[in-house]
Amino acid sequence: MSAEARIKFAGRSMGTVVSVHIDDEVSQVVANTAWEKVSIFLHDIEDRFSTFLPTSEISRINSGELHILDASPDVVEVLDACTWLEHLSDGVFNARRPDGSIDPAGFVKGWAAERAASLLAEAGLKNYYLRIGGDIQTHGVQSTGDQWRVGIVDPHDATRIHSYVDIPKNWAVATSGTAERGHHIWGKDSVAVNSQFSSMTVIGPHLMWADAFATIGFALGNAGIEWVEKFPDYTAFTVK
Amino acid sequence: MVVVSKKPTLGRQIFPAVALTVVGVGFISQLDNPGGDVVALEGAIGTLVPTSSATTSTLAPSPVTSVVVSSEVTTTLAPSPMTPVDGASACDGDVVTGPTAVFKWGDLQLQAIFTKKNVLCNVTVLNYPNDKDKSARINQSALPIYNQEAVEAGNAQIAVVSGATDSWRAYTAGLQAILDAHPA
Repeated sequence: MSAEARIKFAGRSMGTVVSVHIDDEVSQVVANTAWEKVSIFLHDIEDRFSTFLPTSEISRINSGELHILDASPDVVEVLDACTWLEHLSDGVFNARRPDGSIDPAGFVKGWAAERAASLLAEAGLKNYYLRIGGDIQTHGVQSTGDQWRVGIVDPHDATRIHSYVDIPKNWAVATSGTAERGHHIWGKDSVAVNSQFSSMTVIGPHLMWADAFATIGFALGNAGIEWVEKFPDYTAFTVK
Repeated sequence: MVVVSKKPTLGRQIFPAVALTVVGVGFISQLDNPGGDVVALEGAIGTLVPTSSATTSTLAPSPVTSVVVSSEVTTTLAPSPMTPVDGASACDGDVVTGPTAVFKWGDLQLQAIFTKKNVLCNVTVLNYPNDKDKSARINQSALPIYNQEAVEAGNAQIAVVSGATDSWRAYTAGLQAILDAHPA
């Protein structure tokens, strides 16, 4: 099977771009249906999690209109994971703003991307990747039989690739850098300033963790690589 | 009391309340317990019951999740659990080891240390999670990362790119847009 068989989709969600590339020999109809499922799912996640929408569950929790324990299972799962990460990271990761309101945006993107990617598997696809804003969940391999080859963007020039890595089957890649500073790392800001590199990339089986670990690892600076690699299967590398 | 049969789920769901009661911060304790009183968690989410005069926090019905915290402790906690709140006091009081909470992703156990005045001064993670997906484990040092020279040689065949800055603007200026548009 040649590489020309790759079926591609791209669309906008969560303030950035969602890309899906499928390397299976499936009909365009099957691929379209799978992409549609992904689009509907991400639209629903945005509706429920966006802090910009007053009707989202997160906004209604912050306004006191919705009790956190009455939120949907997805919202409870996300906040639960944020709590877990807050403890694991000694408070470096924090889904609460200084004013006490909650904003799990820093976790939702990676979590939603992993969930969206699993919808493609449910649709019967085997070899593909789904990418949201630089965070990638892969499945299977490329049509050539090779592992998915992921380029790491040069943090100083988005038009250049700094390096690349061939990742194991079904693994995920996430990169965190200076541009993300302050977005979901509120407490302990002195920590974030100490990073001696420009970006950190984490690879591992699950995008939701790779994404969160990259955020935390980057904020921890030189201690970040060791912190990430305490987790079995997760590997971090940095670009100066 | 609510009888719950789904223990793993229960453990995962009640954990934030457990941990946050112990360390004194968090969504649930803030929302449910504005007065700072200790609460009794009766079984399942949705049944968090504030008790005005209780002095212990008992988690039922899981056999391992029983934490006792004095009411004085829980009412004097500072917003951040991770930093000493009473710099003048040495962190050498009670050491409270929390229950092992079973998250769906792995286990987590916290240990809290208090000052002699029962102010929380340190929280440590005792158990790191073990990823359940060990079959996919690789030897980390065997993972090859190719540098820019190989990329510039022109035969890298990059399928997708990962980067930190990826707003719509960055996307349109970056390489992923080219990969998305290219027919191959």
